Amino acid sequence: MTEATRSDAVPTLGLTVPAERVSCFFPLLQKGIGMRARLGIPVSAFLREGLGLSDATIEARIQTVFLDGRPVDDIEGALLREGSTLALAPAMPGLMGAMLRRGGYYAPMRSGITHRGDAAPQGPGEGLITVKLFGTALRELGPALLARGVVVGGKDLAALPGHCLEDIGDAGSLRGQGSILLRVRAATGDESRSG
Amino acid sequence: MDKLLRINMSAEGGPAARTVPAGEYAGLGGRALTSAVVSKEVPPLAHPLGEDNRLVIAPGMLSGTIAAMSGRCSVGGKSPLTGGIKESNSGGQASQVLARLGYAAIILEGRPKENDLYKIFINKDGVRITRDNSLRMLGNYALVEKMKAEHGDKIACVSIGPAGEMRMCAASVAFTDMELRPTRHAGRGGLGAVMGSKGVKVIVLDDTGLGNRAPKDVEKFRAANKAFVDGLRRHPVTGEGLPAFGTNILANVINEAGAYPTHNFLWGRFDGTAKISGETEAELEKARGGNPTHGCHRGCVIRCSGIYHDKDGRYLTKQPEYETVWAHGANCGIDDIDAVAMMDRLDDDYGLDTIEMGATIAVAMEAGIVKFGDAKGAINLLHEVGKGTPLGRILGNGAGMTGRAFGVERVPVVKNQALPAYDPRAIQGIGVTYATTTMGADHTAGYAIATNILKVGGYVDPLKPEGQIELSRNLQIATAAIDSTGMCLFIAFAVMDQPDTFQALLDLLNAFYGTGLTGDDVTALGKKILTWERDFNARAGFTKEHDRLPEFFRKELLPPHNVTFQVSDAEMDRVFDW
Repeated sequence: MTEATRSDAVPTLGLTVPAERVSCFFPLLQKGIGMRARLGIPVSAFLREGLGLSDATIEARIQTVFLDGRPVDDIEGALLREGSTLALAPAMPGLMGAMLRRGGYYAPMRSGITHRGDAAPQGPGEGLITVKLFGTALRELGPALLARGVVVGGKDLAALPGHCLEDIGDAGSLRGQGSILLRVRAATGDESRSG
Repeated sequence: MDKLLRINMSAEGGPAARTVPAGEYAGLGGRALTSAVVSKEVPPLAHPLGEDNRLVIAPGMLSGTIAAMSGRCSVGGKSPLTGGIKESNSGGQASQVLARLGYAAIILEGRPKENDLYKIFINKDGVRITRDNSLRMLGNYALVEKMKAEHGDKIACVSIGPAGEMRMCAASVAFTDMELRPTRHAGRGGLGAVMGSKGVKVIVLDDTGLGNRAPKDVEKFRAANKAFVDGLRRHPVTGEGLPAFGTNILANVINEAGAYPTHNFLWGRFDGTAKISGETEAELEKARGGNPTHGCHRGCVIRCSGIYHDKDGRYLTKQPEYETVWAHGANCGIDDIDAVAMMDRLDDDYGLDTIEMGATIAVAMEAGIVKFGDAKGAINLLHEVGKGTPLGRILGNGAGMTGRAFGVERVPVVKNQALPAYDPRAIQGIGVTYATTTMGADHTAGYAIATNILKVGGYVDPLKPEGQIELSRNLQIATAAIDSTGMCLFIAFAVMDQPDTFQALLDLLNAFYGTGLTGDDVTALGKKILTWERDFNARAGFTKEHDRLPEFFRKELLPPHNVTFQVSDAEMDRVFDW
């Protein structure tokens, strides 16, 4: 089921797909999707307000955080700016996973690239940031984000495997598009049955 | 496991096996045993492919028991790649079977007088060594099929492919998995070439009629194993992330950190990572009827391996691991996961170390032999190796040899062994381990248990710059000890985060052997192993000047963070001050 509209900012593409096919769109979340966010707020505030996560969930499930490619130890001190890239993941395996974990014992082993916080916070306002999800965060946060709507590149959308885009008439035309606001909703039982 | 099987390949009248008590090696297992034998019995200046080298195959201290995760098997010898001592370990079934057969190790000695190939069959009734030149140049898959036809499917095989027969420095020793496929490898350091030099194509192990090894205290052992398994299952890494996505779950985060070596360590990020990540691999495997959650040996509860099917839904290979996907993927500019899986299959069949071959092909790409991103060209280069063409002979001897042959300056090796999938400029701490480990660049050398649990070397202030040296030292000590137990490295994170799971591991050892080991004893064992290994390397001619990263890591900035390796030589020389 497809629904295409155009807002002032970017064209919108709404899809309703069988629940098992929502994961087709996860490569977009790995590569990074655009989201509106309040600027100047800490990463922790975005996780709570922007993604609706509880403190307990953040503590237990979001143990690896990158801001602009730098591992974050202090999610209260790392602030979002226009164009920031925020990547979220659970605890990762291996010594490298332990090194990258926020506030982990092995954090000194990657001290050369650690995010150091922001001396001059950006003023209030709203802007576009890029959010990436990895590992179990994909499955836990991905479907809700996709349902709410995320900004993706038309080229990236068109590059998904064919069976992911079979509900779109001319998927090839997406390649020429710039940004698209994509909404992907899992079909309810009734919708699935009605085909 | 109180006996050794010594096989003299150069005995008069043909190879001769003798079973002897473990003697001075009693109580050792895995890396502790292989490094003890090599350091005591191999002349340090011996040629790695000569009659004086040994190939030691040793199950871990807990292998062959019901202990979960205890199926790692160590292979040791003097490495033809590094020229130093080598221990490389593998999953698969052989460790459990060999331990149930009662052997603490198989030690291959000498070298056949003629250029013949041998098959060694071991079961509860004894050892049979057969000359069989019909096995010559068989790939590991065809070889195992032949063994299955001859001996049935209740066996485990330890074998070499054509690369081992050609005595290439990138040759691996293959171990069969639960499905009797040769998918698990002791890959690093060219030990397959040592097995080839001994004239041994395959060791077939059959434990029919034998049960698990019995612990001294059955009840305590069972209770410890239950606590250990519970700990693994409740930890998010060992209970969720690894089973769901495998080791390649790391690709996205290492890429995000700017530490994912790309185009022969030119950049720290690869644009095509999402196409080859563990998350993408897992989805693809499910869609094609494969399986992203599968153990590599019985008794594995983490199940970080998997089954990879091709586009037509047919088995192609096991789920390519993080290091393999990086080596043949990002490092070569290739974002085609099917091509990477094909190269994994070829590496397993020819018997090659995937890390060394990926790094080698990237060096060849740097030399202009094929272009970065050319998946078909990369696959063809592997076929050159498998066929043993002149070009293949160069490539099959590793990144260092290839760099010298083609005049490439950026050759990512330490002690001539290729670096794994983490750039030490972005993650400086791993660079210390790469540079100083006895094994040549090896990410698993410092990989195990948190020092704050083991209290190895006392408390380290993580805010001090020298913390990296202390952490690397302590990790290397802990890893050496864990490599001796037969435990999979991936237990480390449950053990690190959950003191009760670490205690359960100690309880397993103590209940099995009737000992009272503490964390301090584990530390002492790790130090002893490293001391043997460093002593061997020193006698083989290694100095502190060999404990260095290649020059380009200090000179070339790594995007996106534009960093170089900063840890000084003087600091690195302190790693083994204890």
